[in-house]
Amino acid sequence: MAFKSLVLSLITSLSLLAFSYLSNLLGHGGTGFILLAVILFTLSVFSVLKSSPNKAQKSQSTAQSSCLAEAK
Amino acid sequence: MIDAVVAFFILGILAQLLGAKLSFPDGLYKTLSLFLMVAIGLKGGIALQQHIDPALLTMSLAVVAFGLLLPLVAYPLLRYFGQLDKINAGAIAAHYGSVSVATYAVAVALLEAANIAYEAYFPLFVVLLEMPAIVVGLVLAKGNIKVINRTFVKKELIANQSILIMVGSLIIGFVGGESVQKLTPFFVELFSGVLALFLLKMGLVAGEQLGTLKKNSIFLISFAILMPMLGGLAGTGLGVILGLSAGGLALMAVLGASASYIAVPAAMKESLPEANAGMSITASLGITFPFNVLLGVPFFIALGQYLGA
Repeated sequence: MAFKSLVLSLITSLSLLAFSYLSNLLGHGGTGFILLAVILFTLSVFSVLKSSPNKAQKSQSTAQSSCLAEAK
Repeated sequence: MIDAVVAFFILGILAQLLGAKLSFPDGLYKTLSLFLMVAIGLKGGIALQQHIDPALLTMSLAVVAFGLLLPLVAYPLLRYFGQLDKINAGAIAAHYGSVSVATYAVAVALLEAANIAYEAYFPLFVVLLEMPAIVVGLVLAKGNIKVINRTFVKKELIANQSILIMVGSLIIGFVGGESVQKLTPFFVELFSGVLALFLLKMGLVAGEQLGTLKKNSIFLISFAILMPMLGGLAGTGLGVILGLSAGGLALMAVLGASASYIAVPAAMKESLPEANAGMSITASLGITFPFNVLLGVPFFIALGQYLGA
């Protein structure tokens, strides 16, 4: 799920950059699109990185619980 | 340079984010919505009476087809990337296949401020695009076309408040003749001022919705930004095929890019009560609406001017 969200946010960020380029070609200025692309991609990367240590901790505690149960 | 009307929307967001307690009576918001729908319909009817186009029937059919196809673009994105169930994917797809009258009103205000002409019959297209997405969204959610029964058609399509008010006002503007002119000082002259107040309220609501975004909402944010870009480009393409003017191209793009948060939520509440309404509103009002008002609409106006030149 996290990976798919990251992929979609990457697609969206690239689309925003494309819109920024188009906007500049039209003489309209594309700063807003670039800013949004950077913010979105940064947030997605942080979100994925944050959810990864949580998953690692969960699998570690699950493994410990099953070892304790076996020992008993 | 930000338009003064749009600046009120930014003011609303800032006020909400700063925690300012701006009191906005609920009745006032509903009155302003009603005013905008009547004004759009009335203006459209008056203009249509003066400039009726024989190709309107063909164009209307193309617009309805567009409304049927848009949810079919949104739905697979929601199912695959968001891994949403059919009910929620169908409900959100319905929102994005329909239109936002407020976004349309902003686009009209910006076009008129820049003296860019557009076709008189656009309010008709706004009305036509309200309905198809509701039907498609419901069929996608339920997986069964039999959900479209007589009760649904009467309640959600014909007696829907937005559609009724706009169609009624359009007809009144079209057949009213000279007597309609006495309404223009109120509905036409005051349009920008009322829109500014309405956008102030929308800014407050959008700011509130942004605050409710949870940490794992990256999918929703990405979708709510991507979909208006896709819909807007599709609308531009349709406008080019229909041979619209620069202003018409911009408006068709805006109709494709916008997402409903008044008519469709009400319809979904009745027909799909099990859908998560908060998710749809957060996406359409908290993310897509600000994106369109601040970036999308000015971009599509510039694109329309370039293609229509």
